[in-house]
Amino acid sequence: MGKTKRDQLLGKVDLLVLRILACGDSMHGYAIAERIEQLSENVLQVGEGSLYPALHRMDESGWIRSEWAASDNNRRARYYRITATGRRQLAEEESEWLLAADAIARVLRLA
Amino acid sequence: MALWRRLLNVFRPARLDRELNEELEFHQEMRLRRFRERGLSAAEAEDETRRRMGNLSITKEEMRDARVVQWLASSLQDLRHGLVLLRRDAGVSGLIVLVLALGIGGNAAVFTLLKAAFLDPLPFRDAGRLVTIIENDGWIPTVSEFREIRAHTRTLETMAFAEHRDMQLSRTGEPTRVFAARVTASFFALLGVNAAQGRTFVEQENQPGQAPVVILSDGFWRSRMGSDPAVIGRTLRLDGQPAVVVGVLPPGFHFDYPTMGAPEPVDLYAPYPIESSLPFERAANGQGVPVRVIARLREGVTLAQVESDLWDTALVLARENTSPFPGHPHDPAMFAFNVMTLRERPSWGTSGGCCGCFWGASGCYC
Repeated sequence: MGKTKRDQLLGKVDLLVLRILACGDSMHGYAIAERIEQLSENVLQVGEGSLYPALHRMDESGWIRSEWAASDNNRRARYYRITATGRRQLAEEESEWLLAADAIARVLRLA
Repeated sequence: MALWRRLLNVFRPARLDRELNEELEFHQEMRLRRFRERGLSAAEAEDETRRRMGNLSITKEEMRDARVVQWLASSLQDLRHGLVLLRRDAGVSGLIVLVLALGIGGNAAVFTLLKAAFLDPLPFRDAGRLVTIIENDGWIPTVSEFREIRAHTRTLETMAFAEHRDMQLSRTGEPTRVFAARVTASFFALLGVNAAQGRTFVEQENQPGQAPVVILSDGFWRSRMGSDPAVIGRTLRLDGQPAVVVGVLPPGFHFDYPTMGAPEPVDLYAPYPIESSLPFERAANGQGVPVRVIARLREGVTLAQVESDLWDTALVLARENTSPFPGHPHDPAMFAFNVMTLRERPSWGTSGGCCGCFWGASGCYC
């Protein structure tokens, strides 16, 4: 039970992170978290406990790439950037999610 | 992610740990700053940050898992998958393994030969200054040419030659064949080799009519003389003549197969009897006894200097040897020689070319 719940959550984090990174520049973890909160108008809060493992897992999978660079406050930060594989993964997950959300909404409406 | 990076993550966990810490600390700092900007007090900001960040050690553990465990697990899975495939097509797999094994084995074998012949330094004192001299059309020179070069050279410190031949060794029973080299007394000194027992040859033993003496190779002394400790002074019958053993060479010494183009290891060495007056003979004309000439360069002398030195000798020889056609003096090119380092010696036997061929062949085969 715990495992499936965590997996579902991770799946969504992946989707959100990929979507944000797909907008363009490379970002560090904090900026990604902030952006998700901002865009979801504080409805979604991504905890560090799921964000960072997800980032590292996606880096390993080759969906994103990371590199160390100086941040705006002059500290070294790890910046992430989406790859071509990541974009394909995003497209796939996005359509799956929209399909599922649509289906759930329909069930909720009709039942 | 590069493979070495992943391996580093597995075998240098401290490094990965530092990186994860740094990343999370940066995040923590950013959060604190943002809470302070929103007007929280220092203590409130700390509390809020701690609440939001949760249990960092668990997070770190999961990050480490993502970096190491998952990769290892998926590698293991790949490996298992590969093995299953190999087993499923056992015939093809076996063939591939066989082809690879033969190819790698062939290359390794030929490389071992080439390494001994071309890459390893020659096992002689100051081997970089050792050269060989051949006639300019590739023949090895005759004894008379050796003498002329030695008489005229200004660039070569010492010279020696070896002439390889079969000899008959007769003791009590049937005569047996041994492989011998007849050399100048300077041969061993030039290479920097001393006898392990007894002595090497002295100059006058190269004069004709001397009592025959012989030096044994270590291998011959062990296998044919039973490692006789009192071998020095014993008499062998060589080609029907009694020859006194004066020395035994050290175990490592060999100036023969395959490095020098002699067809097999030399069993024993005898002094070459050099006639005091020899007509000039050129091996290219099918005259004289061809011998393998080696020489040691004087300190600081280059091969180019030896070349021009040898050309001077050729000019002298062309002048001294009267042409059979009056009014048409010899072309000095007929008396010209080439010098090359002992390492090069391309015309000494075909072992180099053969090795190259083998290597090429086994390379193609792969």
